[in-house]
Amino acid sequence: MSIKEEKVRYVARLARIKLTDEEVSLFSRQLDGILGYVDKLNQKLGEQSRIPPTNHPHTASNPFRADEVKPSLKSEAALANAPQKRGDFFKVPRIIEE
Amino acid sequence: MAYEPVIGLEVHVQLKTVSKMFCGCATGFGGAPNSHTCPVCLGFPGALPVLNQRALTGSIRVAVAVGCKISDKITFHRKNYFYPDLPKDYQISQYDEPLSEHGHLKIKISGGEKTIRIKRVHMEEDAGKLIHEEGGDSSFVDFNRSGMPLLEIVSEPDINSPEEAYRYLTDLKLLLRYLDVSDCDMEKGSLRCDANISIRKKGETGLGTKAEVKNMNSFKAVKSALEFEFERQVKRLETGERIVQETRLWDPDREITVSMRSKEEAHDYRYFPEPDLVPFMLQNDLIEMERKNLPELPGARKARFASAFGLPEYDAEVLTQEKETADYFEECLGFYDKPKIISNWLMGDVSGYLNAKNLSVRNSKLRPQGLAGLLKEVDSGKISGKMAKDIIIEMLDTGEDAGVIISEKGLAQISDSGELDKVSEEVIAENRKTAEDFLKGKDNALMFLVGQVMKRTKGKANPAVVNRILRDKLTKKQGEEDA
Amino acid sequence: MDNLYSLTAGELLSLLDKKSVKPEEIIESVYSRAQSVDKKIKGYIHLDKEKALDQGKSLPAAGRLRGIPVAIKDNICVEGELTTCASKILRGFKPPYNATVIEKLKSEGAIICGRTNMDEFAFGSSCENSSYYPTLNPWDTGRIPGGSSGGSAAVVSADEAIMALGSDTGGSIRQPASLCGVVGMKPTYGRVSRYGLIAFASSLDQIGPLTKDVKDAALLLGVIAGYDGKDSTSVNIPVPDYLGYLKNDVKGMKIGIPKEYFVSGMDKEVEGSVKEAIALLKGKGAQIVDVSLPHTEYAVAVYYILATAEASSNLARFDGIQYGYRCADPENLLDLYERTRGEGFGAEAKRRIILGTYVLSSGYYDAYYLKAQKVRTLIKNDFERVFESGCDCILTPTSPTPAFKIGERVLDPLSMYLSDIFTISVNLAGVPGLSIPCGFTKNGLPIGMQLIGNFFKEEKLFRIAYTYESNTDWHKRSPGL
Repeated sequence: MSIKEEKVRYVARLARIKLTDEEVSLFSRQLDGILGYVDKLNQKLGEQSRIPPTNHPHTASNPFRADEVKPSLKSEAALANAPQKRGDFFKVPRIIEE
Repeated sequence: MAYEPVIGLEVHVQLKTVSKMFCGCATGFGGAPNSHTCPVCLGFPGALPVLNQRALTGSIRVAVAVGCKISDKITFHRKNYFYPDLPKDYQISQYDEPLSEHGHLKIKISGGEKTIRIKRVHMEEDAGKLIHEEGGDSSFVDFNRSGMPLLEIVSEPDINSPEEAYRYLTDLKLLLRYLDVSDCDMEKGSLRCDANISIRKKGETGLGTKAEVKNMNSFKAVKSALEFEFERQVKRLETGERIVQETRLWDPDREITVSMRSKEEAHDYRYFPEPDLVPFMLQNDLIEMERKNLPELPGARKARFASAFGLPEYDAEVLTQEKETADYFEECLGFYDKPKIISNWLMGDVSGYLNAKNLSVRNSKLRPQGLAGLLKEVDSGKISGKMAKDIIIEMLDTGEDAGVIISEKGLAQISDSGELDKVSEEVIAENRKTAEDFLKGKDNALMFLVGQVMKRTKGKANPAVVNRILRDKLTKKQGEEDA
Repeated sequence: MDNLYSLTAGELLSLLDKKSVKPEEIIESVYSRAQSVDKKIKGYIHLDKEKALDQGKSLPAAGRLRGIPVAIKDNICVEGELTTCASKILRGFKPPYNATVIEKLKSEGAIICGRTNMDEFAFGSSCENSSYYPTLNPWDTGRIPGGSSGGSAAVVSADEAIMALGSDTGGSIRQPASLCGVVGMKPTYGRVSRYGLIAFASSLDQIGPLTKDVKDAALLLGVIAGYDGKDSTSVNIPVPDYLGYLKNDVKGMKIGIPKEYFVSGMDKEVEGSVKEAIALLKGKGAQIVDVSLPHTEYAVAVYYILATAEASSNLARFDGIQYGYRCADPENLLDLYERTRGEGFGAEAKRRIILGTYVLSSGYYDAYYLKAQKVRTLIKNDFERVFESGCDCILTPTSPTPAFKIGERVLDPLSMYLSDIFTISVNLAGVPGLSIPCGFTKNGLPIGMQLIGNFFKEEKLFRIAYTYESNTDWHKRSPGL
């Protein structure tokens, strides 16, 4: 599988990253190389249908938290890093849909 | 040509926990914007989720109650999409190893029951809230709701009318409230419902192209939206147009659904297993414990109320509509053992009062023991049923005991024969004609005399006692005269 | 006392015990050293002497690291202190909370002495992907220090910190430790809490120590390890007394040498040094056996699928809303997202997010992500088989080459990715790995070897490394700065 520029643009939109045309063409070439490497190994390995996937190296036993209230941040602290805020709200450009 | 709708409902309920799904922030409503937040539910870098045990056990309870098969291993997945109310820009949800699948809910329809299959019941976290500035160029985000625990209950497309959809929601809500897992308050947003609807010719079994309908904020709105949408789709097909797969929003003011034209590319949520949480292996004992602790469900309770307490079906149904009413009823029974009388009071005067004040019986000041006390006073003859109707309002208002109200207001019935003897003599003396009528066999005449006694005693006389005294006196008089 | 900065934590703690030095003298010494050499090395991003001295004034009465300055990689959250992952997108970010490892360090009296440079979001093996500046190798400032914890490795190597914390997702502690001639360990996955570590790849990341010798590594790991209720992936297994395992004795211990790690074409000096180390351990009574990790060749491919997929999702939150950089005058929401992230992320971050998004996108998941997870199982099984056969550790080179020149691999991401070929499998399997200096090239560049252990058997690695270190003096050499 190769990764075409069009695909790079689609994926960049999904990832919400604006790319320049130069970046699109560079990434397309580089990712092609990386995926080519991956594909080559994939082919060599063949189907692995009976092998279970590993999400984690090992599984802890059901790490729960008791349903207890812990102190929240003060809203000043919650908002201290916000690039834009108004009052106790985070501010974003107006969302038109809905 | 007759069409029928094919409807599936996706219900989200907020689970009743004190803290959020993956952090210790409080779940309560109210509070300044962003004051119930922490690094976890704000999506701060480095913060990690840890599952609230009660969110899981509550979810298992629901899954067990709707007869779902619960997975031995459950995993959380990330659903990736960008939106300002989603602090991590992914939602922790479930995907291909959900909590449970393949359950069902029996709903009542005219002429019997219908089984609606439940496709899956799974957990996910809620997003924050967006507030749009009227006419301004900004929107604002409040993350207090972010990370609240949600349960999603997805039905199969087994619902074939808007009425059935309404009934499904009502019965599901009743069940969830019985299970004590959610307030199910649509106004507060603790229950939300989206609907998928398509249509087909009656008798066919295939599925047509569906529309997803959102933005309905009451069960009635769901019903109205589905009615509208059904007709819209029928009209399209009948005029030879196609149904488009799309999301439509219910506009409650215009009572129509409107297409939500999406500028976005097709959704590509890139689900993958949440690596910050490990899979949960549900031991059977955990599931069995929830199964064992399952409260008596609405249907069973209704049946028991009818059989064990000899209540009419209607009473049993009404009393079990809310778990707390049913619990209250049974508590009353502990103090007073005439079920039908309690039922009459609860369904009559008490519920009239509560409805008018928009209260629940638990929020009122009337305690089960208090109601029982009042009913005992009626039985003992100390007060009349009519008096009790006034007293109960006072009790609901103040929470005072019946006995206290009776003595404070001097409401006790006069059952003292000495005093009633005297008044009865007077009444007979002043109404000789009527007295004779009674003796001639006119029973109604006695009622008139009783009424006169009541009037003179300002309603305090015990009518049963007066009745007995008058009867005694008149028959005695007749005997004397005959002799 | 002169040159306190050149001592190990172990040495300083015994001086502090005898009251021969005061914590502020250590801080002064380390800071003056940093002031004089960091111009050349650029290992630090943020360094605040006054804050360090303040911490020195309110130390707990006792503590296993009381008065010891510890440098912290810039991706570990310190409450109220700049924590930026060396990225423009987090410029100015001050977390409102401490990472669990920071809480642990503070409660043992350690002094948080500065924030070290790194490849942006830990994406890289050379420290050239920092949005600030590249860090340079103290042994040859024309070369890279390795990465991504290059700053932490360089400041320990250059005696600008007594010890340091790094993070390791595919070799990011061990590879720079090897290239800078210090000890570095990636603990077993789940051994150290990740709470407060800004995630790269959640199922691979671990925080670990970079130190001047094995004893300090054991000491520091002992402090930061342990179960944490805030991290669902941390494991509730008691932390052994690692220092108690430091014995100059490997008699009867079985060390496996995997043939897949000694291939033709590898750097001759690296191969030579590692083989000498094997001979030394054999001479000390260790049993050396040949083993095989047959799925090694797939590790880099598996890693770049899984790690970038997780990273693409972990880094979605950097969207210019709650914190961090936001582009100027966005036209609308989409523009805000796309320009904030387009301008805020560096080239390697963008490349990895694009790759990770691609492998998770509709239609590719099974071919890439699911497949990679299955091969991850095979790689993990390889290690399990070797340890089940009785090996106490597996010995390999840490990096296929010594430190390479600045700029050498920047334009070829794949060659950069292949620098981690010996370290990546360890993260995929989740087992612990330790890098220790085992020689120098004739040009004076450090060479490191890697000891890989079974799950939660860090103490065995410490014992073997300690034995090796006790019989060599590589760790005593210093770069001439």
